[in-house]
Amino acid sequence: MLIPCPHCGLRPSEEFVPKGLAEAPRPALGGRAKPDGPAWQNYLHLRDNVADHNHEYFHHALGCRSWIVVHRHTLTHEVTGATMAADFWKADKPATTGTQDAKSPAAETAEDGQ
Amino acid sequence: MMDQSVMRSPLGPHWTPGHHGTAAAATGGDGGAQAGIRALHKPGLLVVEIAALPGKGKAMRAAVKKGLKLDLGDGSPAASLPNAVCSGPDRYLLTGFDLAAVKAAVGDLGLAVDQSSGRVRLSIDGANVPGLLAKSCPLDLTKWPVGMSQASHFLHIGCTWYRRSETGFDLYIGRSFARSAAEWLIESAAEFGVEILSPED
Ligand SMILES: [Zn+2]
Repeated sequence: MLIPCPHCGLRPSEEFVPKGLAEAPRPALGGRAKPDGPAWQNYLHLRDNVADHNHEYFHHALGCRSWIVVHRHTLTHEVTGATMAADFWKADKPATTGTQDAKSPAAETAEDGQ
Repeated sequence: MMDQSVMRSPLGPHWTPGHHGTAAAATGGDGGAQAGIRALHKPGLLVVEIAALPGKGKAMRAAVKKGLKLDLGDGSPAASLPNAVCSGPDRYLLTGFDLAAVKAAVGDLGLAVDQSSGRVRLSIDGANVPGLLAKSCPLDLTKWPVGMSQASHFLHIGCTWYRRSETGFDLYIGRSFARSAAEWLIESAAEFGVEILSPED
């Protein structure tokens, strides 16, 4: 599987550490800085678990060390692009990096890992 | 003095100037035998890593151009210099500058951290470098333009690569991984013959 890092270009997935879904930001803390109410219950425990395109945080640990958001289909693992995490929540999101030539070499790259 | 620096080398006891591995793989222009890979590590290199604060990348590069006379272009990794390689977005490893000079140049546009004892630079060159790269790095670095740098790995050890010339590359490796990297390099390059150059060369 290849992941298109916005800084580094197409890289094998072994260079990345997955972190989880890029969901809505943390809810505000309640009184006395304690997590408060159902907003936090939902934030911590409820996941949509979609069978569709989703957005996930990845750290390019063996690369540029950037946090990125990868757009992946959970059924096919097709990666349709990636965005710098710092830009992901901005209203004017930059274009995601593409994966035009990302499909066929994936298996080959996995083999090359060893 | 020399002995002491070898003893203290982060590259370990196997990294000794001279020939290692097979006798000769490549043949020099003069017809004489020549090692397929030449490798060099100069101890005592000053390394400072700088990173721009959010949104300050362009301004920091302008400040570095003014203060340190380093033209980093538009910030593309392909616009790296032998003494200023791009290690991530708006982030660079500068070599040969002391921390105070870098801090003065960067000002409050970014952060500067002394990495002189944190990073080790290995330089490799020679006719068989593409053969060594083929089994040590998942990227095809021979397709890079000269002057390009990016982080990836060398034999599963994270490093920043810089293409210095057609067959010359610099690797910046974390110091505590450098001994392992050096031993792997000697083993992997043995089939080509590797000449470890003396730091004085
Ligand atoms: Zn990256």
